[in-house]
Amino acid sequence: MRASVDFRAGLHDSLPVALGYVPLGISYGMFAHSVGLPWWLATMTALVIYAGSMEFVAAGMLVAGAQLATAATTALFVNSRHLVYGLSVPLERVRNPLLRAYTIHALTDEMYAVCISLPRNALTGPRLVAIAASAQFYWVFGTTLGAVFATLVPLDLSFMGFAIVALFVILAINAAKASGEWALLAVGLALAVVAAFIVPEAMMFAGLIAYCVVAVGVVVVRRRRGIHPTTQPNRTMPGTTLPAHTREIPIVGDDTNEEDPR
Amino acid sequence: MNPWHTAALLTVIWAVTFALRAAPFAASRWLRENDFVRDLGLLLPVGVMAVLVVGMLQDTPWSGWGWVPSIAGVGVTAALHFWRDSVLLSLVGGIAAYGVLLLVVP
Repeated sequence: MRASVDFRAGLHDSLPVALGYVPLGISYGMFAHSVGLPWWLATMTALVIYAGSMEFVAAGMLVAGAQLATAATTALFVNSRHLVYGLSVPLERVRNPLLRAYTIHALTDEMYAVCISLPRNALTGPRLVAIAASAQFYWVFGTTLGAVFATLVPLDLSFMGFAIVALFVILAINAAKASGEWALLAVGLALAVVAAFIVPEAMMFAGLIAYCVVAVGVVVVRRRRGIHPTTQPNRTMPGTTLPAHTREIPIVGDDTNEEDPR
Repeated sequence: MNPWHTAALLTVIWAVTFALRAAPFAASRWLRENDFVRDLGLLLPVGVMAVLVVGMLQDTPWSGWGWVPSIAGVGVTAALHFWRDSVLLSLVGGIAAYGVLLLVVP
C-alpha cells in the first residue's frame, strides 16, 4: 500500500518538470530536425542519451558522423556536473537493481533539482522511480512532438540552431550564480577565445583542458590558504537547468531559495 | 548517416553519461570524503559552460555584419536571464532575437 501511495506522490512531484521539459523538448525536437536528424532518431536520443544540453550537441555529431573519441570527450565535459548529483540523491533506496540502474540513467539536472527540494527521508524507492519515469516521459513526449511537427510543417527552422548557444549561456549564468565564481566565468570565456585563435580546429578540447588546469590551480591555492567554497555541495550544484526554473514554480517544500547567493 | 556509426555514437555518449551519473554510487565514500574532488566539482561547471558558449559560436561569420545576430542573441538571452531568471523565457527570447536579426541584417 505504502509503495503505491509513494509512487503517486512521485508523479505529483514531477509535474513542475513537465512545465520545463515539454516546451524545451519541443524546441530540441525542432532543433534536431533543423540539423537534419529524422524525428525517430530525435526520440531515440531523448530515450538513450537523456541529457538535455548533450543531446543538442549530439544531434549535430550524429548527422556529421563525428569520431567516437570526440563524442566521448565532449560527453565527459558537457555532463561532468552529473558526477556530483548522485552524492545528494539517495538512489540506493531503489531496491530492484534494474529499476535502480534506470533511475541512475534518469538522474538529470531536473531530477536532481526536484529531489533536493524534497525532504530526504520522503524520497523512498517507489517515489524516486515515479519521479524519474514521469520526468523522462515528459522529455520524450516534448521532443517527439517538436520533431514530428517540424517534419510535417515545412518551415525554415534553421534559426532554432541558436537554441544550443542560448542554452549554454543560461547554464553558464546559472553556474556562476550558484557558485559565485564570476571571475572564473570570464576566465573560461577568455581561454576559449584564445583557444579559438590558436587551435581553431580543436578549440573546445584545448579550451576545456586549459580551464581544468586553471580550476585545479585555483583549488590548490585556495586550499593552501584554507579557503573552501562557502556553498554546500549537496544543495547548490551549479550548472543545473531547473533550479532557476523551480524557483518560479511553487514546489512542495521548496527550499532552494535560501541558498541563492544573490 | 551510417546506421552502425549512429548506433555506436549513441552507445558511447550513453555509456559516458551513465558512468558519470553512476560514479558516486560506485565510489560514494571516497568521493564524499575527498574535499579536493568536491571543491573542483564546484568550480568546473561555470568555466565548462563558458567554453561551450564560445565553441558553439565558432562558426559565426565574423566579417561585415554577420556577427550581429549571434552576439545580440547572446546579449538578449543573458539580459532576460538576469531579469526574470526563467530558463524558458530566456531561451525563447534569445532564439527570437537571433531569428529576427538574421532576417534583418544584410
